Amino acid sequence: MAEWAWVAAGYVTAYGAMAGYLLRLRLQRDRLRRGLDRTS
Amino acid sequence: MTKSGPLLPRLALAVLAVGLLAALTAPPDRIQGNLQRLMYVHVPAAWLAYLGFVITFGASAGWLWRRRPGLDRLAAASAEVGVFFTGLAIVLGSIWGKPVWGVWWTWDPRLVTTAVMFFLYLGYLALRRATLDPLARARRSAVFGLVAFVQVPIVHMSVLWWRSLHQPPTVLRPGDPTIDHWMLATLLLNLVAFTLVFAVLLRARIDLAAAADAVDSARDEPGAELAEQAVAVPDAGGGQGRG
Repeated sequence: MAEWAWVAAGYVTAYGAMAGYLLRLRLQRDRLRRGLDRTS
Repeated sequence: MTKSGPLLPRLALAVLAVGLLAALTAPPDRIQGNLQRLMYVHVPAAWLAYLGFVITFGASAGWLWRRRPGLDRLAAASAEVGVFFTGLAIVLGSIWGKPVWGVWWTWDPRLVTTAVMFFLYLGYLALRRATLDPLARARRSAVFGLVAFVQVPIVHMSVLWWRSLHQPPTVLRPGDPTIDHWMLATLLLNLVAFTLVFAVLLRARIDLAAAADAVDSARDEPGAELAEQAVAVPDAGGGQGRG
């Protein structure tokens, strides 16, 4: 059972980090684009 | 996603789900048991760190040859995604190492050389932020991107050159892979899935750099006060025209 807890920790870390990084990139891009839209 | 469209993220998600299913149902290792399943995320993360820095190397060389802004943007985006996957590989290695080796970290050649590679490319990203002139930034970071790449083969060969606690290569080695075929298929499937995620992240990072460049162009125009507000977003650097 303890083995599966380590496995779960690894997979949650991997998928969570990738999803979080992608979300951060897209939110930053959208904020920049919104700023641009206000100027045009 | 602008140019790649929503197809790539959906494909990445689908293959990632199949890869997860395969990783959780593959046979356990004879010695490590279920802990060995961490290989299916740790190894792809490490390989994609290599890929990120290979792309940075190629794009840096390309920029020095052709001086195209897109190549500088690609080099910067790929370096950042490579740093992300290097950090992820180190963290996942720690999560795997604690129950198997008994420690989160040890001064092993593979671990140390990987940490050096991580900080080296953090330095690359810091250099980009420290240089304001776009042309000087592109030139300096292109040279840095070429020189820093020396570390990548050192990391890969470290387990062969020095006595290491880390296992030697099982797939990228001379001769046949020393891994069970089912496990190898699962590993390759997850490698494909993570590579698709890498492509999605790279595309998103390039889009962000392009948006930052567009904001910079708008800011340079007379009377663009609102663009000044837009450029105040932190950590959006890396694009060709920023600074």
